[in-house]
Amino acid sequence: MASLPVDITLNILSRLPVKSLVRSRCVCKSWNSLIRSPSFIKMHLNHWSNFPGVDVYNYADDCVPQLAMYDPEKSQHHDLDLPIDRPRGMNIEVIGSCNGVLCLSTYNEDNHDDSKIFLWNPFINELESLPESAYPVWRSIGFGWNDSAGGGLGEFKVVNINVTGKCPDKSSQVEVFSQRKNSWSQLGNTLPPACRNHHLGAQVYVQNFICWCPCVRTDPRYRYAMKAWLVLFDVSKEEFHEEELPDTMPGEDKYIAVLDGCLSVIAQSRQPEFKGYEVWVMKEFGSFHSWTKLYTIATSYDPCHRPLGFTSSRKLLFMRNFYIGLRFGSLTYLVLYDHTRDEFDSFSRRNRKGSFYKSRMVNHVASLVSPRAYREIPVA
Amino acid sequence: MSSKKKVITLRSSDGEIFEVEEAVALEWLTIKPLVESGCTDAIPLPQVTGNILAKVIEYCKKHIGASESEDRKILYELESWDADFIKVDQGTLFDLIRAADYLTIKTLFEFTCQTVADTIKHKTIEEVRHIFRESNDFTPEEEKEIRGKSWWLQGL
Repeated sequence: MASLPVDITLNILSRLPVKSLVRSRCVCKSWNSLIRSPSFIKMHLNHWSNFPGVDVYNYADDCVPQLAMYDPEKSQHHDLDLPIDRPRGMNIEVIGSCNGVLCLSTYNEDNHDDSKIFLWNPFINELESLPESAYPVWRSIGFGWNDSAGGGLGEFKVVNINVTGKCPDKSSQVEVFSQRKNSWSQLGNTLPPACRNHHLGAQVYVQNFICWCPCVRTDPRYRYAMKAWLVLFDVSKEEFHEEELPDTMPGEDKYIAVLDGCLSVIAQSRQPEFKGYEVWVMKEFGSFHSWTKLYTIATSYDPCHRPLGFTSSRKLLFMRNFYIGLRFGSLTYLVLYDHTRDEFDSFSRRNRKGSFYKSRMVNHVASLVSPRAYREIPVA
Repeated sequence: MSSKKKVITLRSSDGEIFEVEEAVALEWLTIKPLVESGCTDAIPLPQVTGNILAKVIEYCKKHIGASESEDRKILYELESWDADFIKVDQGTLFDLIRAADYLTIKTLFEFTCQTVADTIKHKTIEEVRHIFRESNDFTPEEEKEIRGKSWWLQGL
């Protein structure tokens, strides 16, 4: 029996999960180099991008930052073996996940200069610590993928945004890290003026754009009156754009998310007629008229709910926060909202030590994509 | 239009003659231009033996029209039919992949490749080597080094 042609073998291998593939590198030398080749890595990613992945979230376990993975298929939580030193008091923020690589930032509340950005692929356990940026890493960071770079093989990009000066003459310092160049380049004062007074908040990456949804208070008498809009960073052109949101969205806090590959906004309503959240999606990316309200979720104020995003099984993850008195502070845990049943299910173990106050959650696809700078990646 | 369905004649590498409906043959992209040109001679398929061609035709006849069906019952039945169809030895499975590739039959190619992937997913390295007729060309040190790098996968 003759063996199969190489292109067919590659097709079969691209259907294997990362775990089996990493083992399969031991089959023989030619398989080892096939599985490591950039074109195969891309083929494998394209295949697995069509399947729901896993969810990665951060929490603090007795003040030590932890990363955990949730596999919806097995309904299992599992702490990740993060190869970064994590002293007490240090925070780890999950910025985003793209093509199987997580972007993480660490910061020390007492010393902002002590911050770093890491790219990590947990499935192949490759970690890259980004070179030091010109400006501090603590305000707003974005993470995306530039597909057209390197003759179609693509590269990761990280954008670091700082703002200095006093109102109304604030200026922004925007810098971009390119994985191919393995360095930061300065874009200068390019953040749109309206965004300079506020944190941009959490980011998501959709179709070549890093997206934020900043909220600004508009009425000093009513603390929940907010104006929100979209700030988009074009990863290949390295330019910012701003987009309005429909004025039919409730006027309070907004949270950015991704649902089925579409940009989504979870909008809070505190109006007497409805208290809770509305889930909106932009069905066609870039088309203002495609904004659609999908459903509403009634929630209470106590405990208060903060949405963290959609899990890979399309459920909406919330952090619940109970205030239990001055001596004890607050108790936080995570719950999953299942729209099909209109019910909340528990997601994390109720743990007084474990704090989910700073939790963020991202959808993650298992891939072989390396976060390493290109100097270290062999050319196939 | 004539009510009688047009039939295409095919000849396998070992000289066996098969007749298939035109609609089935049109799904085979490699011979589609020949079929469309109105060829009436037997189309020679020098890379496919008679027993494999019979299996390929059996699969395509069953799938024509049915794969696009939205009727759950039909799809469920098709799935269990597929599961029985693919209960073949390793050699036949690889021959089916090669035939689907040669004839450019997308559905059969996808299905057979996925079947192999599902089979080897949980196999040991030695079993995978045997299936793919690959021999271990690593030195024991090299193999140990590559194996050593996958320790963290235990927990994932």
